[in-house]
Amino acid sequence: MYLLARIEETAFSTWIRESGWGFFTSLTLHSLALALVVGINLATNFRLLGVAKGIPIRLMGRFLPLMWFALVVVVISGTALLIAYPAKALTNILFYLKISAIIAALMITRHFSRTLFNEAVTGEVAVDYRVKTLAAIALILWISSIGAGRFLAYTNSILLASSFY
Amino acid sequence: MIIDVLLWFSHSTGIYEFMNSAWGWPIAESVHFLGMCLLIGTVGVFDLRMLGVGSGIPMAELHKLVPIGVFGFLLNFTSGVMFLTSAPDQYLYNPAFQTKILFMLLAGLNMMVFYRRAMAEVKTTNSLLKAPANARVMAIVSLCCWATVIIGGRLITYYRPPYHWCWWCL
Repeated sequence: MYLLARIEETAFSTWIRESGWGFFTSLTLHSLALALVVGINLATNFRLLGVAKGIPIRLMGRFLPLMWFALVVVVISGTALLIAYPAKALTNILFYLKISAIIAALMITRHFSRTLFNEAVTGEVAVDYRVKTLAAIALILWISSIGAGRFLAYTNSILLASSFY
Repeated sequence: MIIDVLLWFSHSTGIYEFMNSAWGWPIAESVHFLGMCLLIGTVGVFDLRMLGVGSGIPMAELHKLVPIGVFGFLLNFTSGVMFLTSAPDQYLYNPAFQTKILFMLLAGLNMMVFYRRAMAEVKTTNSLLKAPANARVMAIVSLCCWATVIIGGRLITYYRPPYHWCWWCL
């Protein structure tokens, strides 16, 4: 807790909390980039579950470079928000659930990217029940991470650790 | 007057009670964010495809994901009505909300023009190419509108005076 209070007292943390632009930029960039990351992943998993069957699965990886770029923006803006209010998130179990769900879902994306979105393969990729199960799990993980992210704003027990010192 | 009507709606339908229950508001927010992701993941991705991202993917086929985005928009409309009618004064006078609604209307108008003037040609465009120039302009308008809608929406509950971004509020 003391360490979290020290982080809150750094110039960068204070700047994000108190300047108009620091928080504004982090918050809006996080929303825009998360919409792309989750949106592209949801669309990809819906395709694997049988929606829009005309899209060649081996080409579905072509939106992933944009997704990984947006993920970098999500991580940077998310880290800025975390540095602004470290105790608020780190003392809430939902934060760890959110991060775990995102990491697990991204591992599924990477797995699909290596096995299914292979442009060297000619002809259509076979989607068996294991792929569909994984895609369904990924959908649930993404929806959970969104829910956990929203509930984080309502379930914190501590706002600032420095209020204890 | 309009505030009374909106509050009457939320009270008479039970929405007000739900939104003021322990988890009503964050549940509606989660649905709202999910709808946003569905919209951006389908309509936003289609706009990007018209601009050349993911070329090789046939646009007519990619467009078949759009009904999911429409479903996402319906989720957003429903949850949005729940927010608005439960605390109308927090929205109607809020410059972020006003901006958001304006750009939603612009996005809707742009979409109507797109389907009337550009969609037929886009559907038959070779999958290795970008969309025709007029469709590309509409794709850029669409992406800018939805980005502004997201930023406006995010700023509605941003508990600071809007003066550092709302220049027309001064």
